Amino acid sequence: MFRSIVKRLLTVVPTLLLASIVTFGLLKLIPGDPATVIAGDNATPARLAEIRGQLHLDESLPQQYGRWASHAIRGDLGTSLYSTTKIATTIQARLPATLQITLGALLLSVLIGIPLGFIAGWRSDSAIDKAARTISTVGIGIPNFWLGMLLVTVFALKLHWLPAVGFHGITGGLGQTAKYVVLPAIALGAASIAETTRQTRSAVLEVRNKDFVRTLRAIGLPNRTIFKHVAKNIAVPVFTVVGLQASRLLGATVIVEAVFGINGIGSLVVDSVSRRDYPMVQGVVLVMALLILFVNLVVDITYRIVDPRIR
Amino acid sequence: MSSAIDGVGRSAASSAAPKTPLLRVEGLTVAFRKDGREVRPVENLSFQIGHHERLGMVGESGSGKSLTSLAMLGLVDAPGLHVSGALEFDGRTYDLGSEALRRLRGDEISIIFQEPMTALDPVFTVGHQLREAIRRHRSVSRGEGKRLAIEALAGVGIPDPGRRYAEYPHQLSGGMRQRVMIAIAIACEPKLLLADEPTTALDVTTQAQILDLLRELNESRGMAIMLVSHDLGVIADLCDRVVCVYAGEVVEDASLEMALRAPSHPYLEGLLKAMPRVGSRGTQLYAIPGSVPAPGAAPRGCHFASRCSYAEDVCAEPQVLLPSRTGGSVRCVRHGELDLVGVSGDPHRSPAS
Amino acid sequence: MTSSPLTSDAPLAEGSPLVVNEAPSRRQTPNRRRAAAVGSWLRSDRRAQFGVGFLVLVLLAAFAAKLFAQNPLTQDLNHILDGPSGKHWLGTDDLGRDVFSRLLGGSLVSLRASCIAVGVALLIGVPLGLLAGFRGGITDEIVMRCADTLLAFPGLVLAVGVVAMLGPGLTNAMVAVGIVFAPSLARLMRAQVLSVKEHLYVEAAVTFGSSTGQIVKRHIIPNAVQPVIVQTSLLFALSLLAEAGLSFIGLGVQPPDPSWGSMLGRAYRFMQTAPLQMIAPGLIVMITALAFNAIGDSLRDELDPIRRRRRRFSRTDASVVP
Repeated sequence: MFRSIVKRLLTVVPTLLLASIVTFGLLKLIPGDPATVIAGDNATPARLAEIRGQLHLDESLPQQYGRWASHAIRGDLGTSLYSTTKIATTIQARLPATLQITLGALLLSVLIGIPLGFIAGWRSDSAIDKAARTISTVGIGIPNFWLGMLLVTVFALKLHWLPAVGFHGITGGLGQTAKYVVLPAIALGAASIAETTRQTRSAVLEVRNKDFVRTLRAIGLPNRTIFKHVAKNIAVPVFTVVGLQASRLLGATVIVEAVFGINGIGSLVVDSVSRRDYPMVQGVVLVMALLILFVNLVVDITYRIVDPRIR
Repeated sequence: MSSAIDGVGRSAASSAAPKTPLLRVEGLTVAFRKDGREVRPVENLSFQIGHHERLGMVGESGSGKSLTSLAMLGLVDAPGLHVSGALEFDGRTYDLGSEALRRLRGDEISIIFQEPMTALDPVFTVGHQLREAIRRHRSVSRGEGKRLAIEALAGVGIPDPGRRYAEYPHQLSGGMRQRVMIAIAIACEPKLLLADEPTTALDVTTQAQILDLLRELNESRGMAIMLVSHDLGVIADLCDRVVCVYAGEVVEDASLEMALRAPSHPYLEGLLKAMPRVGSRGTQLYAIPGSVPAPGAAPRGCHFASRCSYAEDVCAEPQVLLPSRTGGSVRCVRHGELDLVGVSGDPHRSPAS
Repeated sequence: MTSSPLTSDAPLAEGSPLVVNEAPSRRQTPNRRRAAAVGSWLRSDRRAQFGVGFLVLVLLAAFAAKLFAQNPLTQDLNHILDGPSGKHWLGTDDLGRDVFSRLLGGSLVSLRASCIAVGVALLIGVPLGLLAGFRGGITDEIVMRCADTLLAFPGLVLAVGVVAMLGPGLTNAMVAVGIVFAPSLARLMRAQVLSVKEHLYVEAAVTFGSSTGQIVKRHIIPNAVQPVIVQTSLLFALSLLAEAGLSFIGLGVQPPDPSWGSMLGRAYRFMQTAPLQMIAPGLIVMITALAFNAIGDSLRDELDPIRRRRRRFSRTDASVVP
């Protein structure tokens, strides 16, 4: 087990390298002269030179990459073209909001999706199963931002139960934070809840029909014991699905944060696009990729601990 | 010749059918609805097993024999499948599919399956699964459970049981897994063990070892065994009596010796002819023409008629079980007129092993 | 060679997502047989009826609207954010444009956008997966490592990044979405190729001296087509949602062109005063996505012989009938 974990850790190195190249390459997609595109057509030569210097456009590509990567490793993602603040500082300030709604949504997927999927699979074709299947079908198809708009309209604008927009840090107390997190988390998490339910259900259904479950019943073991066996068997597929949701959710914050006016890194990247703050976009993309690589790593290592066959 | 068979048959029959059987299945029927009409893969099937007896149930795959063994234990609970009939065990009568019958399962009757590969939970250790079975029947501490489990592993002939205890199923060979399955199944010290194709997935050597283990358990513990298999060779190796099933019905019930030497039903004769045997190398292996009809698709009269070379007009009538000349019973109206060919030699030196 | 189908009893790797498909000889069946198969699929599955029916309806309505309906770009500033009326069935938007004709006009924009993304994903993913699976070794390693890396980027964020660099616009946005979807298709294709390669008959074909091209054409493509079709219909749904999302935040279709996402973007601004504006475009995005998903789910069951059997016997559960 230990060896396979080390092996898995080693695969992070090439992936990180490739991910950084992709992120770095993003900036190279800018058609024409980046400095002109950034500064606009009427920019002064001095301003153009300043931008060229800031982006080190006069160096060769490998040199540029080397400089960028070596800074990035040290946590220096450069300076924003828009506000002249450090990119890393801005991201750091914006990250908690994004993490809060993402974790909120992930929590909902786990707390709703897994039990619902389990019951639906355990008692397939029951009323609960049919309800779960309907919910997950709709959940996968519903646009998250539209769901967000509906939730805001109903629960904030009409019923005034919850705030419509904004964000409250965890330092202001858990109750206050929850008020602001709940609607975005539902909007963001709907598709993930649906996917988790669906996958848990099919995993349970598959395991339930396995020979060993028949064995357990044949030797007269109680339902409680069978339940335990099924639960441990679906752990790996379900955990994989939840891991994938982390990636999906983080991506979806780009749109959902806009609906709820949350100043996270999702809305940061969108705002930076319209401000042509390319290095900022680059920085956010890199940070998100790093977060997901980390989640994937945790998931993969957990498998190896849970499932004896993968060791 | 026929008179000699009669004589042997009667003596065999008296030992094969004791006065009070351990288990009697009466009118077992499994039905489901397909395209609006009721289909019965197993219909009105009856047989019995004596104390300490080793019964073989034989039939091609699809004949309903596996479904029979599952239905007997109430293990067929798929939606839409309906099981009916009665089961008498050790003097008590149960409705098939009743809750009381379910309590017999894993207590008085246990079962092992064909695929030792998938019959064990891959994510729990062998020891854990065995301990669960043991602690279900005996209230012992974890430590005591472990000791008993290791003992049980040793009891089914697993070398180094202490180490195997902590291993996962995928670390064991097929034969070892089947031994573990047997250890789990007999943890409750059942009076009857159902073995559903227990050796089909194993190689010939391991197959013989598992059969030896079953025989030994039968002899040392007095545990009756019902072996379900498509392979007459395996059944000949272990069993005393044979129940031959075709299209969900018993077509012949006879002592092993009679079944092998003088089959009464053309289907059993066909199965015997289809057995590979020593010295038959180079000759074409016989196969019964056609295949087992899908549930609901069997001919109305004798279900076997369409594949039977002896079939006549009379076979289009529904058939009933009749006493056979060899002391058992047979579902063939023409059995008296036919002179069917069996195999010769010692039945326990089976051709396949 | 003709009688060597991959049957359902072929060994399947534990936990493998693969579907072992029916005989490649299907390739030789006449078009008529194929049409009959499609017909029977549509007759037997309600999800397929819903999915195909709805998409056909949307397309027909969109083309009809081009001919008969009001111009989706015509503004009428005297009637802004009106409710439904005889003249404007679904009311008007904030610039007095007819919501119903914008919805229909938007359907073509949104569906075309989905086609771009799915097309790009197919063009990149399928050949690379084929190459990786068939060549194996270092090629496989490089392609799959790249696919894994791309998968590490949250799909929409990478798309936003690409759009940021190339400039907003529907085509750029959807090409980016397509690139993001490509790795999943590459993985699927590769897995299919590997499973087909495992089978004896390809080995036999290799020894009989068939060329690589022939093997790919005669054995691998026919077997891989079905799962790719299933995945494609699911990707259509995801692309549709991605287009809506990107247009919603203003990175997709640019004004004044209508798309469902950009209509929702406008509706967002008037959420307080005209909350009904969001209903129609949101519903149509959702139902269209559901339609694609329904087709995908239904195809998956239809093309998978094991599942198909299970569905046909769903009342009995085939696993207990010996």
